[in-house]
Amino acid sequence: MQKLIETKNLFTDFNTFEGVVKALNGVGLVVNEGETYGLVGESGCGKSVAVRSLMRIVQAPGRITEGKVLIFFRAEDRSRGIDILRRSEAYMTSIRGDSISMIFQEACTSLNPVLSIGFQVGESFHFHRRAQMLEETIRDLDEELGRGGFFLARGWKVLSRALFARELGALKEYEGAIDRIDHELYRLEEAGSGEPLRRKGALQRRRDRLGEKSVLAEIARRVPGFRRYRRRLERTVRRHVVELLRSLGVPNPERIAEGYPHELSGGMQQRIVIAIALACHPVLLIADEPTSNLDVTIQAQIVELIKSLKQKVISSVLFITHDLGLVAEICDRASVMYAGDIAETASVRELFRQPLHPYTQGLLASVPKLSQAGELATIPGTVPNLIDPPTGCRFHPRCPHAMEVCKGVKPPTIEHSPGHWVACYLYSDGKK
Amino acid sequence: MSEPLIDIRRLVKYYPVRGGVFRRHVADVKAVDGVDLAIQRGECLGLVGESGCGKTTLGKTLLRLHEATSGRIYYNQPAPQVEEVERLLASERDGDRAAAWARLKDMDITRLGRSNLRKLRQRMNIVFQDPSNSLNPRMLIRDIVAEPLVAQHLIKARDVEKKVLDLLHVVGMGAGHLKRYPHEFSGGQRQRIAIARALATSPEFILMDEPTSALDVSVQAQILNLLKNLQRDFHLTYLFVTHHLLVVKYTSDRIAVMYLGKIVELARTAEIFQRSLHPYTKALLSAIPIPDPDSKRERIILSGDVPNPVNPPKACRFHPRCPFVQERCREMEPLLEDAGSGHAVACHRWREL
Repeated sequence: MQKLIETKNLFTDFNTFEGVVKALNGVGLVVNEGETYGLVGESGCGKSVAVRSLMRIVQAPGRITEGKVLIFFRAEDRSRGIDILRRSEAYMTSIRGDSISMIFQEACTSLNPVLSIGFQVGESFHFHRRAQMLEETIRDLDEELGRGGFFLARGWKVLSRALFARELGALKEYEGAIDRIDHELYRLEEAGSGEPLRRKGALQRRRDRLGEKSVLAEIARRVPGFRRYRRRLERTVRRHVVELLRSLGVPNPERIAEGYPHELSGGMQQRIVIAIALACHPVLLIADEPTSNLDVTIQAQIVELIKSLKQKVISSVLFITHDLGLVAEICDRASVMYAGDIAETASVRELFRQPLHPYTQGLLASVPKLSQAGELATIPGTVPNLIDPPTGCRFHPRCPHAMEVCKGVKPPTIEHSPGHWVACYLYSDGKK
Repeated sequence: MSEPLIDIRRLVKYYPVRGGVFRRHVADVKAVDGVDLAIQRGECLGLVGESGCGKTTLGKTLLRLHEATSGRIYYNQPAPQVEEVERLLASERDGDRAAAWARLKDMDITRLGRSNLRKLRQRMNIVFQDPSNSLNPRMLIRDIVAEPLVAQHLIKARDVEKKVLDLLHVVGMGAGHLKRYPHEFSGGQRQRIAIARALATSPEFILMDEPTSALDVSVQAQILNLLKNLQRDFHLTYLFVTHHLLVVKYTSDRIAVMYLGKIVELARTAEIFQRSLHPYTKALLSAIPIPDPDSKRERIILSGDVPNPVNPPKACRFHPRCPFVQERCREMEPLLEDAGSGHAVACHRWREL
């Protein structure tokens, strides 16, 4: 199966006053094309930090100290991948929200309360699909001009069209330049030079000034009331927004696009966040506990939505959750995280039928089930403090099978059976 | 059948909504709207529902942390007396009703006087949802756990330490934790402290208000087991409020399902899971994610959200979301009726579905 994104030996630290929190301890995970991949663990185990590192949005004082994040979908050379940790911020900006997008736990905090929903959903179209929007607007204008009309209105339309065409030309030129730079960068990366980063930054700054290059655009900017011509573009974007919202089952999308986030319920807000994430048809959707603040019946709606989107629109989903039930329900493959380590990775069926790592076993046994009989099993103790994590295997103080070797060195991740990876000394050198 | 410890009759709790320049009373949030429920002595009754359905309000009104708008809550009253008072209340004659009201002063939690209420508070207690908010960060664990005893003047100063230590041992903690502050503990340990505090006055009844929803799975299991053991050892009665159906299934003897301020179904735990009758219960059950990749279920996906309790739908409150809605459901409110062997359901169509 074709890999989509892979992290290799990822370490992320947070420098705090109490010490360095070692949130990730060499995380390696792979998301393949076309699968729904689950990342499970208790709170504080580093699952959110892992995906934030993957998107390169770890907030200060967090820092990715070591490791690689390889993407394969954009590669000039698809088999080797591009290490996005070594790319510029501009490169990341062109990826985030376009080919990888993310939805967060609390919809109400990821939406801006003072901007209308139409504006917030439309932002992705403006940012990542500007060329397409401009083309459509020009096509609309051409059509209207073809129908004739009052000459003053015609003049206005001709002018608008010229401005949009100018902007489109500049944008295409810019994107071509970016592509060339990307190629150059990829080649230079092999040679190990950081020089083109500066040139790319300059290009990125140029993007903001696009459309204001010509005399016409200059007039448009200076003369009061002239900027109204851009409303045409807004109208095209709004049309796409409404279409998108309708496809996600938002009732009455025209009215909702005019409204503001506080007017909506939690489930509806989460749909809006999903709409923003899906605006550009990403290849990978990262969902960070998208349903944990919602009620069960609303959670079921959102889960069904993500499932159906997975079939129709998105290639892969990386689903982060602490709810093992959700993992069983929607994921194909899953990893269990504990205290910054990936403990076990397997297909969901294997993971639930034949858990290998003692932590996975304990976790599965401690969830109340429908067919629960007798006392619930527990894992003794609590999640360790990551400022001063246990040596060796970070699970050993709570592990019922702890051995002397577990205290020493972190156990290597081995492939116990095809596709079933586990990091535990119980299974090293072919035991069991 | 054993006598109910708490007998709730027609309990109503409205929160006023004020608006306009003069803060006039413009509407009510109908949090609890006519609930009848009996909690048997020694049982664990699970109360489930979505957020905003009024389950926490109901629980807190029982402890009189909120004042009820109307209705009666009988605590530990012999059934014949309760029935007699109820009969008098329903009577046509003014004299009968006046006599009933006079008697209610000593029987009904919502009408108890100060000193009686104070005595009652020794026998009822509560464990809150988030232990990081319910423990005072500036008090030592010793003082937190001893506070109910000190407030009720039940203990001499020199006995405090020993008593607190006993309580901490009961919840699986030790002497080393006495002189520390809440922030030094993990979520699970904090919840243990909150439980020790709830047990301090040896109550009969404890309201569990989502005691594990702020905790992680592996810790949740520890706390649930602890609660079960405590109930057995101290003959406690629980009202277990939660939105997590699998948790109540594990802890509770009976389950009451609440929707928008009303009880829609009440039955023994096994019965709810095997033979749920109300469409809302069915949808709720089918919506729980089951930690088993091979489980095959038919899913009922409800459309829409929980309506606003300020202006709940008329007649059956579930009808705008119900997949089996009929004309009748929009016109007449279904009452909670018996469906055999203690199973009660409020739906017009339960026989057909």
